[in-house]
Amino acid sequence: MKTQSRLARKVVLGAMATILTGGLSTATLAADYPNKPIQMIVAFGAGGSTDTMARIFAKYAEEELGQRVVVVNRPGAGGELGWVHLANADPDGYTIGLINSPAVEVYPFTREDTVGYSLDEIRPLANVITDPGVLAVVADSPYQSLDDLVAAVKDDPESVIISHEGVGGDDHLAALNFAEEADIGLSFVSYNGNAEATAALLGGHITAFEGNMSEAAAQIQEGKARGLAVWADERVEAIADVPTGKEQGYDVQSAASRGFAVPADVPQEVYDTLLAVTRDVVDNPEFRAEMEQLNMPVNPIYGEEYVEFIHDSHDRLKALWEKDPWVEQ
Amino acid sequence: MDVLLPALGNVLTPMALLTLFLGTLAGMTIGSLPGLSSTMGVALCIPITFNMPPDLALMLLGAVYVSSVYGGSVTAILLRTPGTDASIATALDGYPLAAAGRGGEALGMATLASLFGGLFSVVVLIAIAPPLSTVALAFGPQEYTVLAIFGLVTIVGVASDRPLKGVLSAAVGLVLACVGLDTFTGMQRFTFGHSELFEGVPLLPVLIGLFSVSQAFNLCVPEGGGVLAGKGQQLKGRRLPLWHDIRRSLRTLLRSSVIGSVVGILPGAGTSIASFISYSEARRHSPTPERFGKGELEGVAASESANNAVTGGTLIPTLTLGIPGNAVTAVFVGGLTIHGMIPGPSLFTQHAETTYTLILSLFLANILFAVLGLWLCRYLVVVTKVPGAVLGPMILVFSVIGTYALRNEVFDVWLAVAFGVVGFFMERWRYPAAPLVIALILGPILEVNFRRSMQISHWDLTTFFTRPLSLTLCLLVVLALAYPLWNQWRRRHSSVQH
Amino acid sequence: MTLDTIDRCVAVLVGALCAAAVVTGLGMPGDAGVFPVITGTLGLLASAGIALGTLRGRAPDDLPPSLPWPRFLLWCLCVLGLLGLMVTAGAFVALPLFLLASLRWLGHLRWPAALAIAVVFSAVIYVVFVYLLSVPLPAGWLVA
Repeated sequence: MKTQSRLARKVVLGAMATILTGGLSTATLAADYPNKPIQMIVAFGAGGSTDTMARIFAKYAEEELGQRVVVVNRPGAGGELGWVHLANADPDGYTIGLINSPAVEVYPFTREDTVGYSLDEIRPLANVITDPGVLAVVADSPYQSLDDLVAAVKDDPESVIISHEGVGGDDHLAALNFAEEADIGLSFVSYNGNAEATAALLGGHITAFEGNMSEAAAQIQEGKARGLAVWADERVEAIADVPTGKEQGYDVQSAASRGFAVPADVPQEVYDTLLAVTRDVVDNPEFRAEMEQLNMPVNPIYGEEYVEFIHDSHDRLKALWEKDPWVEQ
Repeated sequence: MDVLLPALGNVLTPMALLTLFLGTLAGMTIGSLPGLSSTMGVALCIPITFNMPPDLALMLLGAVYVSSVYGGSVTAILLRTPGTDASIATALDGYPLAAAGRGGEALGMATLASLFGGLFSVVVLIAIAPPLSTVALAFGPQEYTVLAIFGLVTIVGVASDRPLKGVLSAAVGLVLACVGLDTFTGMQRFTFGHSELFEGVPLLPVLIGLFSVSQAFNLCVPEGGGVLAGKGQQLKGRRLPLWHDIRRSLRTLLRSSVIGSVVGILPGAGTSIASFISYSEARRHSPTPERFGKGELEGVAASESANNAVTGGTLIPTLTLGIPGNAVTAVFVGGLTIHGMIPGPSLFTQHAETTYTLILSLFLANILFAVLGLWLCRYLVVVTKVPGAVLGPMILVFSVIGTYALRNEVFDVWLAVAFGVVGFFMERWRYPAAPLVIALILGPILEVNFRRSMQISHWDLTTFFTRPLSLTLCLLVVLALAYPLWNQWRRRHSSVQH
Repeated sequence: MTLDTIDRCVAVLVGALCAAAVVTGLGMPGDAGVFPVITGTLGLLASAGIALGTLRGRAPDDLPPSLPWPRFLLWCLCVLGLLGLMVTAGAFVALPLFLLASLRWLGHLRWPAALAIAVVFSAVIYVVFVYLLSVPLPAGWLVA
């Protein structure tokens, strides 16, 4: 990290020198923005769902900006490394990044001692995707509803095993929330990704799968899995047969969302330009169609509203954490 | 099957053939450069495929995938710098052959074995993909746990003739595998606050360090060092393996291809398990097991046919169930979804033509890399004549840049160089490096599946022996442990009698 | 040092490392420590086995191949220089310099030959990684 920040400082100094000697003010800099390719930091590996969305977005953003948008994958530490790079990037608008909520606002307090960025260093720009949580069982499972599952757990707590994708992730928090609502204790098993968890579900090694809609939708549409609940306010179009948790009397809301952010000190003009571009891309019917095909529900939240959304979520989860930390320290 | 004909038509257009050719060439190059891997090859090609029609894009990704696995064998044999864990077992016999001036033969055998394994698995993929995909589902956490143990036992057995040093090396690998954020409890283990280590000690920098960087040290440090050093500057061997050698290896080729295809189907099991199990089986069935590890063509054949058979195997759960079999196919799935195809049963119905086009193009890519490989063998061998102190710096540069390119992290480069020094001294002190790397791969598989088994069975250890499949695997582990001991006892017994 | 002495040192070192892993593992919450304890114990057993093996003295005079220290240190210096320069001055300042130095002093090539190889090879790296694969290598002084 030390070498990285030193490098960053060098680059910043170099950039400042260029600005001073060129006699450019930030205003004129912003006026012809963008005049070179823009880096888009993806905090997860190439080919993952965040990366897929980023690359499709970049394709449309390039048309709007008239500049290349280069996707740079900086995976590691569940996204943290990428966000450290985003937070430390030059605030000139030529580096933007994707942030995944709730992970991005959770790390600053769950990893308090080691985390390499703070929320003050990142300025959220716009949310694009909100992917609600889904609880699913295999198609030939005896459980038809959440009530069946709760009854089974009350009968024999060891008979139900639910998978999630890592302690403290949105899936795990959703399942914990559900357990609290239903007043039961659940047995969990952790999987490192959607692929292995799906295989375990279809192979009958676990009772239920807690994941995101975009991951489970294909199996549910194929009739290989049955969705017991979707943790959202309303039913989701792609899997309209699946009732919400609320309908069944368990008021649980959970989603993983993906949006864009920039380093905190980006000039307001640049921020506005990027916001306008994001609006145009999100309103583009072709972009919407591609997202729909990937079962990624578009849910735009722009500018200050998104900043507020992230900070609200941060405060809410932090209060939860302080009451009952889900990670042992 | 009636989609096979239009699919064949798609593959045989000039544009498709050109894409295949370029993909194969790129894959072979990426695979053969020390420090670059198949995962990276496919990941780096995704942006390029973005503006291509889906058919061509998938062909390119497929061709890069299968040919990069083959490409790994070239440098594993000639320079002992395997770019991925898939070719570590190839280097065990390939490099001694190259050092004896028989690199051409070893490369030829590797090419034919890769072709055999690759074609075998593609045929399996075309013929019986949907029913075979149930194998992927039959494996639960218990089975994966025992499979990982089986893999470790096998690797310690074949990597060195000093089993205790192999065990020590594997144990260090397993301890390193504990590093990182524990997804079960959210606890940071042995990370010392380094966020670069949260997802564990990154595998590829360690692999590149222990094999490529340490080999750069080996080549550079001794005065007048080199692959052929001390054996004259002559290439003694033939350019291609004899028909006699190929026929002798036929049973090994077939056995290894079956092992490779089956292990490939299991999501997350890893190519290295397949190649090491095949290698160990080939040695067990050989009339001359003592020649393995010192330059036996059959060893190269076993490892290479197995790792290329894995390519078709991993695509079976990827295409039929939407469950990627390994890191490369996970990236592959990303490539598919970008082009609007969600992997799963619908691929064989809605997108049948594109899917079969992809499968047929894999078939062609296998043939293409074999033809290219056989033709290039004679020129590639020249590399072994280059003085070590010229080759070494170049290998080091590729290792450093390749490691950096993995995730643009300078930390990984330092890690690779540190492991390079460790690997250099491990070899001098006769500690095998392969068990360490394989343990680093299998450690997480072993741990998470063991803990999943325990969570599911509520800490009942008998769960490993009450499931038929896991019990069978347990018996295999016992056999793998008992066989060398029994062999020793029998040899001693017969020497007493005579 | 004979191989036996080295083995003994390695056994003590790795044994200590594994013991540390076991102790830390025992202090971990939940089932997080189970695997570190198991693997650490395995490593301890293997170290003990190796240490005991050396006491039986199989081949007390066995020496590792001799190491030409001046060349080894020179090479290490080159590699450290490459890494140090790469992060400060940029990849395409560090690469040609590293190749030039190591080819000249370790490979004993003549200056023109070393220079030619260094430049051509760096150019190949640039074309493959920066141009074709758009890997953002550290730019350093050559930042555009």
